[in-house]
Amino acid sequence: MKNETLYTLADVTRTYQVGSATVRALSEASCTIQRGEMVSIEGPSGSGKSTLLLLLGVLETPSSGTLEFKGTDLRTTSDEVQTAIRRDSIGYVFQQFNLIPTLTAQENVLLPMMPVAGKNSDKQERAGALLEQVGLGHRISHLPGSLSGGEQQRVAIARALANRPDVIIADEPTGNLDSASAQGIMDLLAHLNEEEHVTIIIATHDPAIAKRTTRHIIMRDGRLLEDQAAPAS
Amino acid sequence: MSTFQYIRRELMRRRGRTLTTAFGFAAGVSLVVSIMGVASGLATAQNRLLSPLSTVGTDIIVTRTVGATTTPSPSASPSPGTPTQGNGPGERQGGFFAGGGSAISSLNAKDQAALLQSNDSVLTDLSKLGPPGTQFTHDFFVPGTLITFPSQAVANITSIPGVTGAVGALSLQGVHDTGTVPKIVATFTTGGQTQTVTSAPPPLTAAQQAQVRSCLFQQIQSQQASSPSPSPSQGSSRSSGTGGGFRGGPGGGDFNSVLAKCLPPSYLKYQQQVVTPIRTVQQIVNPPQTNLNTKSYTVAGVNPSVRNQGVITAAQVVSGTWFTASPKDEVLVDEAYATTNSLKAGSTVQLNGTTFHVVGIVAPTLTGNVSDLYFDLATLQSMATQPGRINEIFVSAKSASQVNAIAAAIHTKLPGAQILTAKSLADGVTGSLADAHTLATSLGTALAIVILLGSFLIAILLTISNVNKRIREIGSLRAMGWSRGRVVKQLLGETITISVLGGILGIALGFAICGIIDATGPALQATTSGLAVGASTLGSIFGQSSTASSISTVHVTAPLSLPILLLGFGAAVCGGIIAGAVGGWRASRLSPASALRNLG
Repeated sequence: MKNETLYTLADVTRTYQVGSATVRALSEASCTIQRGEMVSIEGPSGSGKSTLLLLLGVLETPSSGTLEFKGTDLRTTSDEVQTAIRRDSIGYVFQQFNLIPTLTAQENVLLPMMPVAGKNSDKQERAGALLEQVGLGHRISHLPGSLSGGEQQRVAIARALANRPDVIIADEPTGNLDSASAQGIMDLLAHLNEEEHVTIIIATHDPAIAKRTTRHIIMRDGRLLEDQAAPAS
Repeated sequence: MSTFQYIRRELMRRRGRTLTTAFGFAAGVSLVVSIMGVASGLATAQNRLLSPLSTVGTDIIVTRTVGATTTPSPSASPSPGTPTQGNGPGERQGGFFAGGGSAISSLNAKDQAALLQSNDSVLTDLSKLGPPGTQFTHDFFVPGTLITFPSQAVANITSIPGVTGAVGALSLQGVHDTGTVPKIVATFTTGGQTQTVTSAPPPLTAAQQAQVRSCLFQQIQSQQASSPSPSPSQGSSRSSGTGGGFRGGPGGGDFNSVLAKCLPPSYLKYQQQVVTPIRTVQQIVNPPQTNLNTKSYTVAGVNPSVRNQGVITAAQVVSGTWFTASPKDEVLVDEAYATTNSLKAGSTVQLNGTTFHVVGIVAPTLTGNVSDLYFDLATLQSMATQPGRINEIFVSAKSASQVNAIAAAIHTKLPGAQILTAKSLADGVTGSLADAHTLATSLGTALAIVILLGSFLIAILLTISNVNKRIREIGSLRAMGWSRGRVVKQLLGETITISVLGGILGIALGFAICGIIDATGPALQATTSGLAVGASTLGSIFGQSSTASSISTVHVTAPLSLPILLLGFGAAVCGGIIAGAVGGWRASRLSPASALRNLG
């Protein structure tokens, strides 16, 4: 379990057509990510971090190369299968939080559970428990607009945890937060990784955030430059 | 949390946008509902007012108008009580068709003759109305273009299978004349007679005889003395005593002149023959009358015992009563005519010296058969000197499907009959009501469609704009494992809910608009063609306007029926589905990554 391979990337390339020019957002990326890892992907803007995260989040498919998630080749799977993987196995956390502004914290956490069978009361109970877990037990009925940035990101993390994912993918999760809130979020993610064994993949250009992870993948111009595993503890 | 809750949250917490979109739908729905309501109101008005045959218990009206060639009509024969006159300047006939030449000349010769003859029968010498120079008031009744026929035709039609009832009526043009009784121009010839006058003078007295004798003796002597050869015959004739033999003797001094000198003066006047001269006297006492004042109106004779079928029915009595058991001196008055002439139930009307009691005021439907006054048929027949004659028959059929067959049978039985069915009458309707109805049905439908499409378009654009604003939200939903279908369902659900709201709002608005239309009730007019309006047609021949107008004003109503409301509501929901589907399709087309990347 601990050593199960979640992602296998082999020469994964992603190109985008921007007008007449073909932009190579990710070039021949190869690596594997094991369950339980806490990985940071570092690099300046435009280095391909977001593209890599979209591919890992099964929101994007590679233009070429092989990308496997738990042994499933994501290039050839149908939209339905990809949707199911996103729903059941991946929790995505955005820099902008992306909470639904018209729904309360609890309702936002309930959203990923809507496509899943189950009793509504159980789901509500779980949503409450998750908010409790991220430290927002007292704010479950608040609308996102009345929450601080850090609180909104905690709701987003609770939402990402809703369907007990294998991995949480966080794209600049602290980018819009002050450093205190950012540390709080990082504490939470580190805690989830350590206690719940949730695999965490964080894209960031902030060394202070990257320092909190155990593996650092450095990117430049769409390529994976360095892949340093922290010394095993 | 269910999809529905999510929808509710979305709509409740984005109230402004929800209401804007809903009002977009509501505007479309309310306009469509109103237009349909008005169209339906106009259709109802037209059906009620313009297909009125059914309201008078009639499916077919049979008339015999000019234009129909048929067996010679004895109706033209004048009745004894109405002498027809020669062409004197006092006659009204000279001016009768003067103004209406075009109307008459458009008919064929046979019809012209029939029409003239028919109307001729009631022309009356005005000089018969009183001593010349006195004021008179008189009412004439002419059948107009509706030629009369014997009331036997009613029985003929009743015998046709499928006919449940037939009742005859006599619709006439009344002409109310007031003026001065004219003096008739007299033409006569005098003279040419031979007169014989015989006189017997008294015998001569003895003294006169002696005087004559001596006178004669002297005269003869004086003549013989001056004459060389006295005629021997003169002596013998001297004793005859008669004047005949004494003429001109060649000698010059004849016996006559001698006698004349000697006879007493009374004997000089004797037997004489007189021949009067022949001369023609034509004396126009008065120029042709110029003060004739004519008012025309329409009258109809109805069978008082038939209350539910005919020109007028008991159901159309708005005040007063229907004819009583003794209808001879009773009259029903049209509402409009009663208003103009200040008549009401209980008033009296004078016609040719007879007093008629107004028993009821009636409101006839908009047929061509609107008359001002309704009399008992027999009474009008005798007033109009048309005994036993009618010019309209109102026929009811067992079922509407039999109307055509019955019409054909009537044509066979009564050649030349003019047959009017509800359909042909409605076709003859013109005026703003008919225009508005046409407008509402054709242009109104087009307008409704345009408005619907417009409101759909607005709803679609609002939905798309909504989708564009929520691309990040859609991307997040996709990222957390929502399928395309679920995203589309969510957006569709929202839009349909808005459209349902819009539909409800629109129906409420539609009710309000229709309520305003009902309250203000714009007036429209309907005019029936002159097809059945025999009397009025004649009125135009006379150049006179009839007070019995075939123009009717109706107020537009916009009744809302369940189908109209359902249609409006359904249209809104359809619009919602289309808008939601378009918006959803746009949303689902976005890949999750591009939806998220759009954030920049």
